[in-house]
Amino acid sequence: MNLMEDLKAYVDGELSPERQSEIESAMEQDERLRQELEEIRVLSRLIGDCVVEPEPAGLERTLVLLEARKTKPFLTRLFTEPKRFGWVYAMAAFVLVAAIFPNVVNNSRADESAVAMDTATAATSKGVASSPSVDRQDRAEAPAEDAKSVYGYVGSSTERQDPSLAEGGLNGAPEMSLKRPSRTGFSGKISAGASAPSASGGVGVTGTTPGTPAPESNQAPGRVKKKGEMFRPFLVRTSEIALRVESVQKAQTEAENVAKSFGGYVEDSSGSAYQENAPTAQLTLRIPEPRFQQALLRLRSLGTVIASSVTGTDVTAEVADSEARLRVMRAEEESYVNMLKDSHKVTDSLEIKDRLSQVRQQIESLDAQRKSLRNQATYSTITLSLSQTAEVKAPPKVVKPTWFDRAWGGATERASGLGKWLAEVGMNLLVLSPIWLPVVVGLWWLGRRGSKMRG
Amino acid sequence: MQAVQEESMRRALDIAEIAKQHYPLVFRFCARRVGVDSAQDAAQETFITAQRVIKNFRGESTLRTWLLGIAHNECRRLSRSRRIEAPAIELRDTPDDAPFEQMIVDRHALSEALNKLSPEHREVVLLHEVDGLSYDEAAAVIGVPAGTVKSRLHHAFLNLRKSLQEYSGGVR
Repeated sequence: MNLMEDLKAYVDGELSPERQSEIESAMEQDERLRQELEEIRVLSRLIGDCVVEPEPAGLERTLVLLEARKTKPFLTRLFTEPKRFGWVYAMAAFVLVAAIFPNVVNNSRADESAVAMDTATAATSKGVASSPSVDRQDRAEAPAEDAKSVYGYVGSSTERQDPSLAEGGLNGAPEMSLKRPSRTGFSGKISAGASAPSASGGVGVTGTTPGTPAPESNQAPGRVKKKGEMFRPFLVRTSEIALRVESVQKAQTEAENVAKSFGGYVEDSSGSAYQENAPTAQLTLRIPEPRFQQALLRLRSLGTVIASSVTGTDVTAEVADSEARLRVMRAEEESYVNMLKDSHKVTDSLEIKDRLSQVRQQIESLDAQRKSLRNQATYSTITLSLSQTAEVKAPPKVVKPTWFDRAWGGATERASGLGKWLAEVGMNLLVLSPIWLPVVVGLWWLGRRGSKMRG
Repeated sequence: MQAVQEESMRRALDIAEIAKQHYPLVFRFCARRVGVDSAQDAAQETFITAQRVIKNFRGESTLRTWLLGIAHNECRRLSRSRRIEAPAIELRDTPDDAPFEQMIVDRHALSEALNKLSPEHREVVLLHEVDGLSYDEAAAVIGVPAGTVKSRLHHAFLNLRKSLQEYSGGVR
């Protein structure tokens, strides 16, 4: 080994005794080596003696700090030395964000879904922004009243109730939607008729018969009034009611009696005893329009309402149109008749007769259409479905979770999500390490090399 | 007897006692690496870290070496975070009664030669010549083998002598 390389270590006494002896024997023979050794020794002593020793400061402060830290628990230091435990705050913030963010996203999605559902419900209600559920019936009735005040009546209403809930003695969560009729065809002032009483059993149909004459009224619908009198619209109203009854046979008889008592009749009737325990029957009843609402209430009281809907179609425009056209046609007919009387030529008479025939055909057609519409408006249709089933078991009682259950469930779910996410990140880093690891190592090496070059 | 030994060990490892005993050494060590202004912070952090990890001290090295090792890491961390350049090594003026050998070497030349050393060479020179650590202790502080310390010192002194010769040649 080169002796020169060990000279410094020899001066410092860091060599093994053997190596030390070797150097000493070499120095006895080599003057240059001795000179080198002396130079190193002088330089070494000079550096040790001449380098400025800075005066220490800050011992007291350090001692105070050490004493204070000795007695403080970790949590206290966490808050009193935020800079030192910045990483704890960063981790806490990360966990908080990771825990809250998915929840916020879920909530916003839920809100969006709720809004979408409300919008959908509003869309089906066609005009009246009604609440979809009957447990919020007050809210549903409010727009119905609003509709009445503006348009005179509620065009249609639907109501649906979960039969199992109804049978279980629960009020359930029946749904109700309302439809607002079009104003098309209303040329005069629209009157608001008598509002129907609320339905029995806490689920009332808010669809009323305003715009149609009250039972005691003797005014015919659609009759064109004289100046200053109110115009009554023609309504073709149909209702579908599904009832669960104790005895289908008995209820069928009662329904027929109801139709007769209100001056109506049974248009169609069918029954099925396919299952002994669950016979069904369907009846189509025609009830005079003014007594439609009363009949409806009587029929609903025969059993438990499972579903109910009332739809009303305003045919006033069609009736008015056909009547106007009829008047024109009759005037035309009259003029042709006069022309025929005055005609002297055979060819003219034939042509006029031909025209007269066409006009009369049109008059007949319009008159039939008008009568049909009037008939439909005079008698409303109620389709009644009766069913009798075996007892339906009430659904198991749902235990409402406490706030703790919800909080615990949410926290564990989020922790699980966070764990999965971290695992995914770890796996991705591991799998993609052949790509990113060389880059990182290269950058680190370049940085290190750069700092060395600067140094 | 055992209780007495435990008590003496407990007192020996009491961080306040250690700080009182070794603070000047640690402060000077830090001052030469991050400057006097930041030396207080570095020394303070060193003892705070020591307080936290003293339970892991197994006595395999001397307490001084262990503390300087922590100080070395704290100085590096502080240098990076505050972007501190290594301060210039300052030399005292030669007193009138200084030995002849001190009189013949130009202080300015020596200071320049020391400050021209690479960080690795400068580190071992400071540890061995100024702080007075042995090769093994210096190796433990900076985390390299003792042979590396020896080699670096040899080359550091070669560079120092070369710089001084160039300076004296230039002056002549």
